[in-house]
Amino acid sequence: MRIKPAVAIATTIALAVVVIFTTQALGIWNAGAKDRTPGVGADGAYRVADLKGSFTFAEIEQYYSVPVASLAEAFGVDEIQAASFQSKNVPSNFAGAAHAVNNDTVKVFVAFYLGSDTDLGDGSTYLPATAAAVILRDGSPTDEQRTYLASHTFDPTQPAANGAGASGGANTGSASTANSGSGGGATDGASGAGTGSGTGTGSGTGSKTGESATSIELTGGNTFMEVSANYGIPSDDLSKAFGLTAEQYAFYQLKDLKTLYADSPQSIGAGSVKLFVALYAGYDYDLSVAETYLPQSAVDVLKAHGGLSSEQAAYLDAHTV
Amino acid sequence: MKRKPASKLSIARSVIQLGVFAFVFLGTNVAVLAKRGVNLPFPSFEVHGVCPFGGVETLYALVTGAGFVHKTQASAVILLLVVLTSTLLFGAVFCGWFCPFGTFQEFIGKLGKRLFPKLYNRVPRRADHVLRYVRYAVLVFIVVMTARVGKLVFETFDPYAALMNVLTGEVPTLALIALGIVAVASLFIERPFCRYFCPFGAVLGLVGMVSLFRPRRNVSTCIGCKRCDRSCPMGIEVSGKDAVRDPGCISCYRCMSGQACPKPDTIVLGTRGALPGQTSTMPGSVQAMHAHAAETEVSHEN
Repeated sequence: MRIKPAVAIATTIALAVVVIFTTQALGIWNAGAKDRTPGVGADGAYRVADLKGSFTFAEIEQYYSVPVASLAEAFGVDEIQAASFQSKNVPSNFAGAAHAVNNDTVKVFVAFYLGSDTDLGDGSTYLPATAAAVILRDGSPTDEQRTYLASHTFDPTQPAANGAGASGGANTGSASTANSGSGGGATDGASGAGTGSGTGTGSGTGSKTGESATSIELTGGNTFMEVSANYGIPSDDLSKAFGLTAEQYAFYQLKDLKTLYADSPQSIGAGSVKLFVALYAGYDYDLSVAETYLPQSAVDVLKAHGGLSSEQAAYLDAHTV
Repeated sequence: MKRKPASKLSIARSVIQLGVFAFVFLGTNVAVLAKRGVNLPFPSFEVHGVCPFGGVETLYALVTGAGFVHKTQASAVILLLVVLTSTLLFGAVFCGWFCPFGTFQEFIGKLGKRLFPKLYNRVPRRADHVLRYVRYAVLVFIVVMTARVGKLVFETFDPYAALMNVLTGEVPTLALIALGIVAVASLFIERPFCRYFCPFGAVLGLVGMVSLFRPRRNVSTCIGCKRCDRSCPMGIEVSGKDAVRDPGCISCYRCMSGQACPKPDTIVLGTRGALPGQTSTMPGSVQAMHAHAAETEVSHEN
């Protein structure tokens, strides 16, 4: 029996189409869709609680109808770069400020702007004055939210009390996007001798190299072997710190930690490795930038390695999972 | 002699190849593009979710009840079954018509053929023969290590995943290096990764050896012009076989009558017995005469 090549190809395509559509209809097909769309609440609007740190300001505008320009003004981001600015990078614009500003702050900002319900937790979220001004000028906050704002606003240009060096080494690459009027993170990152900010966090001390941790360029795509090779961390210590077998050490990427530590109450990922590398190798590391956690095994390795300041040790004790 | 215009089949193949490539690339990167403010109305998926080799990698974990290896999805297994079925029927058509990474190499190869015509596809026969076994070693290594480690170990140095994820900025350095090497090698060798390193190609090549339909050569009409040999992207000597049962065959069908073969009904896609007689009885000198006659015929046609 002979057939034309075109028949073979047409049959293959037809087979694939039929199988894919059938399995989709049966709910079996799953291609790992990267669906980033937030969930929809009872009121039919996207839930602010689902606002991810990886959302760009453009996506926030898309889902929540908060203009990019308003977000940029509120969080001191250059308007040219605002559309692609990710919410998780907001802290870099407020390093050294009296209160932590992060993705939760953006959530509160969006909720207040829209006048929608949000969980304010223990009331520890403070908004920079620039954000509060935008809400009051352009948003529709409820009376309760206005009251909250009155007591939870701070001037981002004022550094933290007793925190002269709180921003040491925290001037990350994205801080360059900050407007001069609102970014407390524009301070010199050369020093690293702060003793703690108003929120109880501070930067690292006792640096061996004086080099900022911002020079540690790690992404989730890096392998542990690369980390070891690039930053001089012995493979044994790195494997032990993150509980890796020899094979996992050889093949795992940093982002795989999320799977390895899927059951952890706090996220363990590339940021954790960066913190580990910084503390192990003695880089200046601003502990106030983000809440980063390490597994107990990594903390044990760091303590055994030595060189930690008392502040770093205390931070690790409070950030161990 | 003028260049023969592309056949409808050849055009259709290029359209399908580029279409599949664009589909996978867009689907893999639509979320990344959204982050950059470019929102496209396109389905989003993981590159491993639409790669049937993910089905091979996760098979051990599935069979042993460990579920899917991280990043592999049900879709990968479903696609694997579709691809295996089509391979059992028609040979490794997935490689020749649909694989985005094969397309990537092939189109770079077209450029290399023009830039370095004298260096193109000049791999010494012995080296070529030995290198063709490497992909089986790669396959065994990946399947065994994935089973032991429980993650896609190939991802660390997978040039295909690197190509598709290049916009994410989270590609392992080794994979980027592998991608660069494949891209450069493609300028000098047709489909170098497919020939020597592709683990999925190794699977499909072996399965394709028992396919129902395969290119079969009618030795009584073959003129021995060897155009089929020259057209084969995998360097298979079609002119020396009654039927192509080579694990390297990617079922691109470029060797067929109406494509590279100038004689009608000489290389056809068929089952056993599709052609009368499978043993060549034509002396070499007669074949050469026929070849010369056909060359002249084709020249006149053009």
